[in-house]
Amino acid sequence: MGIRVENIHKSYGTEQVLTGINIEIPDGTFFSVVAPTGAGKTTLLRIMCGIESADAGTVYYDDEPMTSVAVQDRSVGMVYQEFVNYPSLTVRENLASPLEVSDENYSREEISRRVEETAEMLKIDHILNNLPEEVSGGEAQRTAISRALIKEPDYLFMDEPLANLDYKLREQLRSDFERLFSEQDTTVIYATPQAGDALAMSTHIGYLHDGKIIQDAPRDEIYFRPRHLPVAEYLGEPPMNVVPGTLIEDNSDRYFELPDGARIATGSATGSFPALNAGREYMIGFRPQDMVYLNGAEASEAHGHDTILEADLAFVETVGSTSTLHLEYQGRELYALNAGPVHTATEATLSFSLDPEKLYIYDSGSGELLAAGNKIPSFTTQK
Amino acid sequence: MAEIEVRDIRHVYDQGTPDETVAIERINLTLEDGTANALLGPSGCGKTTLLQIISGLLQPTEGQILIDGEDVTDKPPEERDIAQVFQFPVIYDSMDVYGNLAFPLRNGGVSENEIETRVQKIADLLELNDILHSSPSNLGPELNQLVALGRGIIRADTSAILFDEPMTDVEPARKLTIRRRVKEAQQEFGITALYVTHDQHEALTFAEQVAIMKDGNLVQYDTGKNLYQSPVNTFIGHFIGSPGMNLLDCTLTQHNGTPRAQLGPHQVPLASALEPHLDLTWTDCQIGIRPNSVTVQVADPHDESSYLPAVVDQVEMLGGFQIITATLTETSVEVKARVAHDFAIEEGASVWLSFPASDLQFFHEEQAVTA
Repeated sequence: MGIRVENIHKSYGTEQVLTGINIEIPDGTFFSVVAPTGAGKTTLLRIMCGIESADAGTVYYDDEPMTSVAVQDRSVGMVYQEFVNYPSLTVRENLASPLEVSDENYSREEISRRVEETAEMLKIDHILNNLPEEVSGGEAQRTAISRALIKEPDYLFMDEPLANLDYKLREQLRSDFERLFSEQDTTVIYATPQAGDALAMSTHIGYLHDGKIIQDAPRDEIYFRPRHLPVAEYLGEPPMNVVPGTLIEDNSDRYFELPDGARIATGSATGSFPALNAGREYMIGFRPQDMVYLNGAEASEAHGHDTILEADLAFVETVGSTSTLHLEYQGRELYALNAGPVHTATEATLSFSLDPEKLYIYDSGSGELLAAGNKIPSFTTQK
Repeated sequence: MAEIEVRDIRHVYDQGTPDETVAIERINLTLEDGTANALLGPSGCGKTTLLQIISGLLQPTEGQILIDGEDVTDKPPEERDIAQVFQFPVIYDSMDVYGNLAFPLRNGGVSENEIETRVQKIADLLELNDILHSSPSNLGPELNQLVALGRGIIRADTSAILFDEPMTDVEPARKLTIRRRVKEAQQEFGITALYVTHDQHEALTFAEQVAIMKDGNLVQYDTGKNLYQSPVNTFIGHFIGSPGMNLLDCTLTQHNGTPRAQLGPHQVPLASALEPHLDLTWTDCQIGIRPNSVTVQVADPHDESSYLPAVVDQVEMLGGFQIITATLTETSVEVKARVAHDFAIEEGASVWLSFPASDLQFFHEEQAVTA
């Protein structure tokens, strides 16, 4: 049950935006569609909720095809990036309006009860008698969300609803949404270019790439097991690092050789990654937080040893107690996260140790995930 | 480049009318020559007003703006030699990137040889070499923003550069790269810069010193490290950090001569150096601790003097790490703790939390109490 999207296509003129979208969104989930701006997220949401029609393909709600069902006859709510509220109505009247214009003839008492309940849930009960212009941006957006929720729709569509908000407010609403919707039956379909927002709130994430959803999975699964390189390189802040490496077997030694000759040992042939072929080049991924920075003495001891990566420091950003190191390695930009300040000159060469059991191995042609280290959580999927 | 001084600036909109609004109460701030500064605060704090007063777009109600000691308060923007990079890049579509970069110099009658040298230097620095002869309309907003920056700093007599939310239109995935190039340009040219944003991450990564405003006042002007470790009040504690500092209501008590914070049935030891500065009769007290200073144990450490029992309400994955929200048992006190991205924890689980005294702040009536 929930929403099923089958083989949706959509073009604007000669521009193909969606080229065969297939998704299943189980009931009660918080499903984020993630992609860079311009990838077609808004188009997909508009087709799913019925504002726009597809060129081909079908959207099902609870196994019912919705193609000929108008948006006003569907149990859906919508929230946009720009908060849409009626400026001349109080927050209370804004909340009540969808119920008052409804065909369902809600009683005064019912309307009042729902307004109070929804306002309390979204923490706007203290501003019910204010006009929208008298409340903060975050409160205005909560009002818009309350209006979308008040008819208790089965499906709530949100298109970048946090984009216009202050950083601190976004952080607060992100946390509130996660809590609110984990206690609600409403199925949420949420579009965002922000990997961090999607990871914080969603139960499921789908990544849109070249007009297709190339992976959709429960949140932890898509984060720990990104099946394609574009997913790996997007879902993480900072993103996963990727470098090419050739698998070498040399008597009892088995290792990846990186472009600068550095080696990442994989143990014996029966050790890690047994299914990979010697002599082939792979793309090797590792998360910034899995690059362990080695300071002076550790580094000189480790120099030339296996599983040590040496990269040039271009730039350090320190926020609080975490440093993000921007590194240059063989013409590539890499990021390392370090739990503490790093005191060194830029352009210094730094050493990092990598744990082979935390590596991701991708096919260098198709970009598909071939193997992942044993310390990376694994998931049993239905697919 | 130059030093910029904001002296006794006060600004009131619609003064003397029923709509009168005080945007800036009174601000003093000196941006030293060649330093990177940020102006950070929530919407409506007055930061945009202050930026417009510095650039000359707005006349302040009171006070002066000085550039290298010279009072420029009455000068129009074009006579202040302050460059600006706006939210959305302002670029001439009729010229290629080279023409855009060269524009301020051609206006100033600089020789074509000199122009070429300068354009080349800027292009090298901002990595614009490959697109020098492209039309800006074919480039994304990120590259156009870099062109706007290049145009702002190409003149030798620029006294400072102001950035107004320059990352608004930049794709999230491109922000790291763009931030780095902007920062490298600031360092290389020794630019006096003021970067206005509501995003603390941008402010803290760009600036050596960050000025934080609230309700028309400058609350703290300090290094990122000090804002993080020694916030002057609870507002800064909460505002800086993501999520912000935990601020936990408490009362004061004593145990064997050392001060302790009392949270419901639980006690948390405070640094003994604080003792002479505390008054046990105080109300409206809070202890502050950063989420990543909280130690989380999933097995009972059987150490009641250091660990407080709690139940996990919420687990949020934030990309590089997770945030756990837990409520201390027998209280309604919620604590956020930062743990590794692969730390295994579920909602409803029991945990034990420790707050190291060295990382604890103490606040009375919202103000920091320090030894």
